[in-house]
Amino acid sequence: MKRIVNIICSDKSLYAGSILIGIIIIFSLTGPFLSPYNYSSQNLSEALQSPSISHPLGTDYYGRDVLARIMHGGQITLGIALLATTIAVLIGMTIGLISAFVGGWLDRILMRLVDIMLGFPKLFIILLVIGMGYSSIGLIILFLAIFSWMEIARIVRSEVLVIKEQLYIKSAEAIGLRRRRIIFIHILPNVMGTIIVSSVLLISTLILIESSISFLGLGVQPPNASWGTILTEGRIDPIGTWWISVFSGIFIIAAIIGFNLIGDGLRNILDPKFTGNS
Amino acid sequence: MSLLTVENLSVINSSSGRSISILKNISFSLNSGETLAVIGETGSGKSMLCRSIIGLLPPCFSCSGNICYTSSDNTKTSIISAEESDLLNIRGKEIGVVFQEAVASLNPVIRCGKQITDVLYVKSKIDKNKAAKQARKLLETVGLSEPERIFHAYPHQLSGGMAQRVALALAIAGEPQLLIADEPSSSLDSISKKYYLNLLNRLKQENNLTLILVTHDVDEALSFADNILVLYAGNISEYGKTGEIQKAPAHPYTKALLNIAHALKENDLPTPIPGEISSLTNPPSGCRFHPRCPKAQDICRLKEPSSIDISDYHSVRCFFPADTM
Amino acid sequence: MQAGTTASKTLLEVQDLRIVYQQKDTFPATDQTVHAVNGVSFSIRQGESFAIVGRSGCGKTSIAMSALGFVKPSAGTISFMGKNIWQLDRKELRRLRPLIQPVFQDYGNSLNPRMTVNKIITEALLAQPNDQTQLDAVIQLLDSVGLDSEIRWRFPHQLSGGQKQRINIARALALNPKLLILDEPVSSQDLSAGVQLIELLNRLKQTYELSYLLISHNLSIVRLLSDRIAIMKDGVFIERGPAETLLQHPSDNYTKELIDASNLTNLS
Ligand SMILES: Nc1ncnc2c1ncn2[C@@H]1O[C@H](COP(=O)(O)OP(=O)(O)O)[C@@H](O)[C@H]1O
Ligand code: SF4
Ligand SMILES: [Mg+2]
Repeated sequence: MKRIVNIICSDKSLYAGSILIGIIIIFSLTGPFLSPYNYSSQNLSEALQSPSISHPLGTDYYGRDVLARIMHGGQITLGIALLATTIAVLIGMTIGLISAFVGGWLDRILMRLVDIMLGFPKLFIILLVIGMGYSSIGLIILFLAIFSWMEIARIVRSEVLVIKEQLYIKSAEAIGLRRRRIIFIHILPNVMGTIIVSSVLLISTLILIESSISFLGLGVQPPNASWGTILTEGRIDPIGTWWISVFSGIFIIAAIIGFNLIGDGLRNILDPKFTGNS
Repeated sequence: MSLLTVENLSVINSSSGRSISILKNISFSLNSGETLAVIGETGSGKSMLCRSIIGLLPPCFSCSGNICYTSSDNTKTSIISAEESDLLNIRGKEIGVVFQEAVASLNPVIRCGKQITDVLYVKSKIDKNKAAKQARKLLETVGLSEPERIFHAYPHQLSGGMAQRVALALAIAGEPQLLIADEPSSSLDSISKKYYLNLLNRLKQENNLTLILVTHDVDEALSFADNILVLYAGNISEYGKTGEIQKAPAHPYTKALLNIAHALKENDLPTPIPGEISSLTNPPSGCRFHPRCPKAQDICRLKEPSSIDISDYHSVRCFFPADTM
Repeated sequence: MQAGTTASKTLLEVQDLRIVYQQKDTFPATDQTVHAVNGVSFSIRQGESFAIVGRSGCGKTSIAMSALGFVKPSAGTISFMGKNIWQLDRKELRRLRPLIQPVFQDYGNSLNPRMTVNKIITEALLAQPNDQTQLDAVIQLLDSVGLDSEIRWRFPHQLSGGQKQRINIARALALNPKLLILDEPVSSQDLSAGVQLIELLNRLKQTYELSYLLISHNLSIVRLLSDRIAIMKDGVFIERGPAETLLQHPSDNYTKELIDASNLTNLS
């Protein structure tokens, strides 16, 4: 634990990003227990109040506390992004590894698949399916994952192709080690750094995509709310009810910046020359 | 006339929280037209010395002392205190550098010819066509037999020896007075190495270049340089005229290096220096060479020796230098 | 030090080896064939040290990679202890491999940057049945290459060039090999570290009854380490013979040029 803290403190952007994201996560997870309001309980008599002591971030059209909604929205938004990223990384890593190791026609087919998937108008497809009325959080996660593993697959493949030719892999082969051991002990740990960095960056991309879909009203559906959903609720009168959109918007931006900072920081730190020293 | 004077140069790296002395009290001077060889083991600070001279130390490295460079129009610049804009005028045009990793120092995505053309275009302010023509001529000058092919090649398509020459062409494109070559020959096979050194020799004569040649090959230094500076763990062990050092090395380290080089030439099994080069992070007390020195006495562990002048052009940093005359 | 008596048996036998690389470039689209090795034959007997000398790019490393089972020859045979290594199935090859160990020039790159020295050597030990306890074995191996046992907790980037190369050698020794393939083992080392390594290699050869296939462009190193030398140019051997004879009385002009180049006193 102390080591982790040390590592985080050793890089400015990692430090800043971790604090930012840490605050957002703690806020979203513990907030709902501390807040006197429920994110979905309506109270029309208190509709559209601007920020005040009792409602620090104001209320929305139904008199729901915006702060409570943003805390809940954080769970949804971050949850979707994290789960989708995990699935995408697992798919991408597997396909990248297979592609690099088996090579030949399988490699060509998989990489063609990556090209095709990358060329897909993904937002359009997502909107189409969801617009037809099949919307659920699970579906959104699945969609985001299916449309974002390709970058990871490409990165893993090209890294593995490079590392495969390094002399320490040749030396491991010369020792007579089995292929499985070479992949999992020698190659994967050396690709892990890149994978972790790209996944953290992917999280922030997915937060943005999820927010956009929800902003269009096609993402997370009531009674659930993500930050994108809340953002869109202030759309009707953006000046008069500024607090609804501004506060949810700030959280979206903060989370994106936070994950980007962490990604940049990790990029510096995951250099083996660095971890070895600490 | 002195082209470059370095006085009490010290470089300190403070990136890891504490200060590590990389170079300490380095002083030497270099006259126009001379060649200085800097010899020493990996990690002794040779590359850092080169980078200090052109004011290109990485961040978190701090420099003290004085480095004075006399430009062709006789203005003197103190490299350490100079503005970045002045340094930009000096790098390339006055001082050219070939870095240790020649291939890595070329941009991998730009064709070799274009890289040289760009330098000519920026530094000599001539038009693009003229610059391209001159770039081809430069490739010929550095002894590349197919300048046209190299002009259009990407760096990774070249062999080590070729890349080394392209890097050299790039370094002399701005027609510098002083050329710093950091271990140009370490990555070359013996024949390429000989060609390359001959080439340096020719360029030196034709363009009246002053040269700082960094190497860990003692033979190369002896056959090539007017002066030799022996660096050990960031300190100058010995500095002087090549002839004097070759005839009568005063420092035990220099002596050991020369013995190895001599034995290799004579086909004998040389006696290596025991142990490893001392680390800069935890330097030994007193004389940094003492853990490996056959002549070490108690005082060597306790005190750092200071530089003693043996003759006008020969100094050594040792309590018990060999008798020279 | 002429080791090759008729009594000792042949370890490695290379016959008419040819290696061709297909070099594909997508832009501009070219498809070149590079003939790296054009019919090379030699054999190494037990306890013998054979050197291949030539300029970079003449095909030396290709021969090494082929003997290690990494680069498939386009023609010819490579037999180790009587078995053609390119006709073995994967399992047999894996059993044979520990006996032929490489020591590469790029000593830094041949150690996994994320493993400590201890792990690197233990891994090699585990690949072989072993009666010693691992820790003892690691320390003993480090000792036999002249390194302090403390070093086993370091990562490769915390080692000097000479130390890295010693770790490479220690890892190779962990497998009880019969043949070491030394590809420019000291060329990128400092003078003193290089000489220390040469001494070490000569000593190990005696104690472990090793054979060496040495690859180098540096004649002053080769003459200290080998019994027989072959001079290679453009994929073929142009001259070969016992080390001393060849270096003292070279008959080919190219050999003369190589010998001449390792002597820098007469720069033009
Ligand atoms: N970019 C860098 N950051 C930190 N330390 C460095 C850097 N480059 C070199 N050093 C350190 O500076 C010292 C001198 O290195 P260098 O000048 O490269 O030696 P040489 O040229 O003799 O091989 C070494 O201890 C090396 O580890
Ligand atoms: S001062 Fe002492 S230890 Fe240092 S080189 Fe001289 S004799 Fe050796
Ligand atoms: Mg250097």
